[in-house]
Amino acid sequence: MAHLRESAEKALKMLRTLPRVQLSNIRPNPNSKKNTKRGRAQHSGDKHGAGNKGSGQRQNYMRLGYETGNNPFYLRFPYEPYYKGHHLRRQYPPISLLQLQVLLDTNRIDSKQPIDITTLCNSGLLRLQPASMEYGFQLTDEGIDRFKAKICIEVQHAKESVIAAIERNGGVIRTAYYDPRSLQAMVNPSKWFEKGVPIPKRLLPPQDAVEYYTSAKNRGYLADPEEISKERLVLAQKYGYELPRIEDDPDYEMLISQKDARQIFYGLEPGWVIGLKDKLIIKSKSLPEEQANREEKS
Amino acid sequence: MGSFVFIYQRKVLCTGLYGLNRWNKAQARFFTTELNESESQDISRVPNQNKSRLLNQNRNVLLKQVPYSEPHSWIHNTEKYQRKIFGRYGLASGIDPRICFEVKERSDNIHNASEQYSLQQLLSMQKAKTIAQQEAVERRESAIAAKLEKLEQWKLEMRNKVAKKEADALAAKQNKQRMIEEVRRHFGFKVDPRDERFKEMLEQKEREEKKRQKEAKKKAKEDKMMARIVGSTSTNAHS
Repeated sequence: MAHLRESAEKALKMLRTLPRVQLSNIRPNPNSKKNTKRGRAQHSGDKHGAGNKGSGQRQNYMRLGYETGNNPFYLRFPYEPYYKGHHLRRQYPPISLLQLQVLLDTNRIDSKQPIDITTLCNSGLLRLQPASMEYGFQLTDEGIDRFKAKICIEVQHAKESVIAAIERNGGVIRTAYYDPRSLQAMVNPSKWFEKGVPIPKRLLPPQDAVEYYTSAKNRGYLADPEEISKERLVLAQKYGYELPRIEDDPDYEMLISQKDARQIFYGLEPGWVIGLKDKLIIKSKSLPEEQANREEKS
Repeated sequence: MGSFVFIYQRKVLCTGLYGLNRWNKAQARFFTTELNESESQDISRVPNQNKSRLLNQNRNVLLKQVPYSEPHSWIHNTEKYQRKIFGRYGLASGIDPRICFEVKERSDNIHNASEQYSLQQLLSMQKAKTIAQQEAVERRESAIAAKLEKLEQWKLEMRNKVAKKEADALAAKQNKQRMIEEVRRHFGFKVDPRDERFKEMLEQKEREEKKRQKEAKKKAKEDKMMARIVGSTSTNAHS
């Protein structure tokens, strides 16, 4: 009987969330009367409901796309195949190294903390619109000669010269992919937490981006860490600088802090609900990690 | 981040009556306050505390409290709304935070819809794609190279063809000129080529020419035949 009760409760729950029955969401009963006669004289005679003048009255509507002799819109422009799928392509709004340096110098960004999209958006000077196909920031090489900061940064796209500029100063750079839903959470975390929804799990990159993010040359977040440390040396030789040892750095912990491939926020895991009002972290016992913990205890 | 950590488990069984639990609690609170007040003083004499002329729900929003103490719309019973209320007003809203977690089967569906392939699969697919592209480029390049090798030969053939066509045209023209000259010589004076007599004569000449060619052809054929017959008889005689 348990399953019956369960389904009854489910049905009740569904009923509660459904809207009331009202004029806007009901339709005529099946087989209800439909008037097939066209009225005469005062009984809906006159125009018979077809309106006055024009296509409506004469019931001779133009074919779709016809513009009464104008050059129709769908024929007006020549074929432009190079724009095919442009509305689906991922965009990466640029930030230059100069901009980043200014943000650091003016204390908009703390260089003692790892920098990611949330940090950049929280500076209040940079915006990201995931709904307009913006998939994160690309770091450009403008102001490369004046860049002097030692940072741990995560962007979505970076050129080789930019990677060299950051590593030369003893910093660390990673390129990482975030799906639009995760980006939405990152751009404005407090707004996301106010929704009372668990932190989403970061999805894998799409097929055409997988190659980029698994490559150690691009410092991709899915690349092998050993490969990356090798590529760091290679790049140092190519650009002719001595690679600072980050192992001896006082900020070593900060520099090597990396997110998991499924993680969105530093220190927070997917599946947690954050209560900002009461400063709570709420976890579900059904999360695999929590289950493992309980098994250990018992 | 959090001062302490709550751990809840959400089961399908206990999701059904969230709204009811919450509203009952609210009503109960209201009931107790009413009792206390009736003990102390008459309700009608209590001065109205809300002088703002705002609606209660709007005033609550202003004071950062839960806007509605009872559901006023079917929307207030939806999971989405209740999650939002918990997210915004915290534990004080009286909503069970278990509602924030998705039921497992539904979350699995979402996961499946968004991620069809594993990383390894994606990588191998991408690799196959790049290899296929490279192969297509190589195939095209080798085809072009093979054609380039023959290019000189084709050029020569083309030139020869054009030269032959020109030579033929020139020969035909010269022949015609010769015929006209002959006709003129026949008449002994200069005749207009558009003249009837001239045309007749030219036709006759052409016919003769054709006949001569035909005969020459016939003769050549006969000669050939004869040669063959002679050859065969000689071989027969030999054998």
